[in-house]
Amino acid sequence: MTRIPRIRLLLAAAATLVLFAPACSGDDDGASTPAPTDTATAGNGHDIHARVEITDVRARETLNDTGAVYFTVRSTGEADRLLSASVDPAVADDAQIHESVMEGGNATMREVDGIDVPAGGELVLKPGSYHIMLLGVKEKLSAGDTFTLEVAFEHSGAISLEVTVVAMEAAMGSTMGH
Amino acid sequence: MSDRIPVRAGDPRPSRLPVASTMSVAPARLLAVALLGLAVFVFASCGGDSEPQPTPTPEPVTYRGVLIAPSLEKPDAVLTGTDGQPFDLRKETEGYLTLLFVGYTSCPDICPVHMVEISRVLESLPDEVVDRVKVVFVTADPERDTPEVLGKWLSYINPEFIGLTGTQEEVDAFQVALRLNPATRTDLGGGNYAVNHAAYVMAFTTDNLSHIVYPFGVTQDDWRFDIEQLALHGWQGEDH
Repeated sequence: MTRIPRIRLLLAAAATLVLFAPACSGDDDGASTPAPTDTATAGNGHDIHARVEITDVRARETLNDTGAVYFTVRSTGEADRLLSASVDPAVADDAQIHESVMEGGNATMREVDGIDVPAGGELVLKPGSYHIMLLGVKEKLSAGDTFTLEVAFEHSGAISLEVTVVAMEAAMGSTMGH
Repeated sequence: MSDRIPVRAGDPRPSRLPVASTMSVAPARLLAVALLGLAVFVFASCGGDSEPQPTPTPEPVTYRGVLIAPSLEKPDAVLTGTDGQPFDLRKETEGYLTLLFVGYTSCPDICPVHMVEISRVLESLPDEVVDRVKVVFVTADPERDTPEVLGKWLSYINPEFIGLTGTQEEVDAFQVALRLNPATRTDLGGGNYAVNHAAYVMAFTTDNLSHIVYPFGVTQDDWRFDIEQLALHGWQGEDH
């Protein structure tokens, strides 16, 4: 119930930041990008105003009401920050940015309030690391299914992603080497 | 964790003959258990190859997993199976390569991916190997992971996998026995929470010890190599 207002607030905050950043921020070296009100193309994520390119968007298949989405964010110039994610309530109750942390023999998880995308660098969301956790998934997500996830960045604004569901081990991506 | 296990003075070598290890513990058990053991022994004798024993290798094996020191003892615990019945871990897994993981079903990726990877690897291995392996998933979240919830979740992954739950106290004690921190929770809002659990899969060989563990991200090739070696030959690391 509080989810949508929170996302809206974050988006509004992000848009405000972008609007005022050029005027008041010295280290923002004159970024002239207005907050994009349109959304990027799904999957290949191009927007002429966006500072990021998003690829390899996938969700693992679900076995119960918990899911996870992964993607790679590449900075096309200046730094940015992933702030939030939201999903259609028909797909899941909530989408949260999490990080799996492994310390010694234990694995745990924490919710994070944002993740930096370094200038010219990339942010990789992958199993065992950063991910968008889906809570309260309504219908089983099976390989081949697609749904829309909206992610918000501090500078690039809201970007709509088309997420493709893949088999559990395929979600590992290239890190598994098989 | 360290790269290798020191050979400990006075520590008996892992038994290469599971029959001998059965005999060493039998006197301490109830008569019924001894009789059951005898029955199994007789059955195995009559059945020929129904209980194949691991055969030592001439040279120590270089495994792909991460060696741990000191090795972990397989917990002597009775938990609850997905059928709601008591499950005696040592008794039920005696003589098998036992791959053990402590996790929870509401886990975003580490738990299901570990389990699916193992399932895929077992599907690719010959029966001769697979018949000597048991995979056990113990929940760190008994409040949500009832026998039914756990059973349903595992049935999607591999119906042969064993799922165990218990009271919070039982599960906590189980984790302590494995040198893990008992489950702590991270509140995720809306009644949801994440649970602290094991980061790796532990492999218990027929000596009832885990000398080696498998962190998240182990490749299927590495799994395949180690499972085959450990199942067919038992622990054959440098301290064997």
